[in-house]
Order: sequence, then structure tokens, then C-alpha cells
Amino acid sequence: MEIDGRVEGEMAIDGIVSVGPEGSVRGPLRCGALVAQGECRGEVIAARSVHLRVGAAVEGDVQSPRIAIDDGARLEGAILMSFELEPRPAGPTRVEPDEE
Amino acid sequence: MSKPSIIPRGMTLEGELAGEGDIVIFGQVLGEIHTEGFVVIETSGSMRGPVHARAVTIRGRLLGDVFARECAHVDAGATVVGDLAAPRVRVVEGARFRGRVIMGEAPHLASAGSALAPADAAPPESSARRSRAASPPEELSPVPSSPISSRSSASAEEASPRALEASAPAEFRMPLPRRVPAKIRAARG
Repeated sequence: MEIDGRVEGEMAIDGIVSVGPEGSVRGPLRCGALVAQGECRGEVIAARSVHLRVGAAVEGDVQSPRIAIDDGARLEGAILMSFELEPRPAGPTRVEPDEE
Repeated sequence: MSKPSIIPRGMTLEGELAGEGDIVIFGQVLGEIHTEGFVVIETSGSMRGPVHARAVTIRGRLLGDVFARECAHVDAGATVVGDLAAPRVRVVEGARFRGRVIMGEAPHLASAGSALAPADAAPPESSARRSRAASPPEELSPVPSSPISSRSSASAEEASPRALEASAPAEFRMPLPRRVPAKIRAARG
């Protein structure tokens, strides 16, 4: 799905959401994957991946297993990627996995 | 031309690194880094603690916050748990990262690097240009002869050791009591 206009409200889409340079999404977005070059305001939850490209302006937390942020994209929010910190054998750098 | 200070693989530094030069970490750092230069945490490197620098690149592992005056770069394969505060942030796909991204201008960055606060007030476009122009470390402007603290919390009690360090030729100061922060000047030249 490509968004080149303005969308307001909650969105839930299984596929790939592409927000064009002129596009704007306001509201929580749930999708399979997001490729953003435009504006997104609200929480983003993507089942597969998020790619914030040049021109993207995202305000809100982004949750996805794979996230890429290009130089020139803007993000104000947190990245929530779920992974375990494997303890290092050497010890001292070990940190409790649940640091959040 | 400046050479970076290197923490080699197999070496662990516990304490604080403060200075003006670039730092490349192949080993481990447990503590803090405050530098006017670049910091690279290589694939084999790991760091626990905050990093205050001009630009930070992470290929290894960082548990701690990044305060970069110009840019923060999280490479594929890196693991970062902590916040990234920088005017420009780049995260490559494949990186593991959990934390906030703070790209705002002056306020928090000023607290991260008070010595250069006026530069932080510059608009993002100009800072982007500046960092590109300054990209190769050789092109960096000469370091001021007086020691500059990158911290707003730098207090008077630290002034004298720093002054001593400025006149000392040695990069590494040994022996170090375990609990006293190790201050290693990032050497230039």
C-alpha cells in the first residue's frame, strides 16, 4: 500500500506500507513492513521490518524485529527491538538482559 | 596528523577515557568515554557506559548511551542497548538496537558537551556539512593547547590532574589502583 497523501487514524495492514515523500500518516500504524520517506506520527509496529529513508520524519516508538534508519531520516522516539543479550564469556561486560 | 588511541583486543579498561583524540576499541571498556574526536567500537569491541564524542560508530557491542555532537552510526552486526542522542543517526539493517533516538538540537547535546555548546546550536544542515567536511581525522582543526573538558560536570578537583596530564608525555599512566578511574589521554600527533 502506498501512501502519498494524508491518512489519519488507526491503520492495520498485513502487507508493506510505503509512505512517500509527500505522504503523511497520523495515528498508530500496524503493518507487515514499513518503508517511510514521509511523515509518520504515532506508534509504528511492523511485524517484519521498518526502513526509514531520507526524508522520513517519524514521531513515536517503532517496534520491529529489523530496523534500518538512513542518514537523513529523522526519528523522535524509541526503537523497540526484541533480542536477548548473550552473556560474554569474559565476564565484566555482562549485563542483565532486561535492561529496559 | 593524529593517530587514534586503540584499546586492543584482549585488553579491558575500567574507568574513564577523556581527551581530544579519536578512540578505536577492539577490547573492552567499562566506564565512560569523553572525547572531542571520533569513537569506533569495532566488531570485537565492547563497551559499557556512556560515550560522549564528536561522532560514534558501533560495530560491536555497547551497553550505554551515546551523545554524539555530529552523528551516531550503528552498523550491521552491532548490538546497542541505550539511547542515541545525535543530530544525525544512522542504523544499518541487521543491527540490534534498543533505546531512544534523540535527534533534537542544542539542549541535551549541550549538556553532553558543554565545551562546544555554541556549535550545537547550529542548524542541522550546517552541522551535516561540517561533519562531512571534517570526516577524515587529518583535516580536523588543531586541538587547543588548553585541556577542554567535554563535560558540564567537570569540576575544579579535576582541573589539576588534567593539567598535569596535559604536560605529561605518557599516554598510559600506570600503575592504577583498581577503583580509581583511569584517565588516559587520547593522544594526538
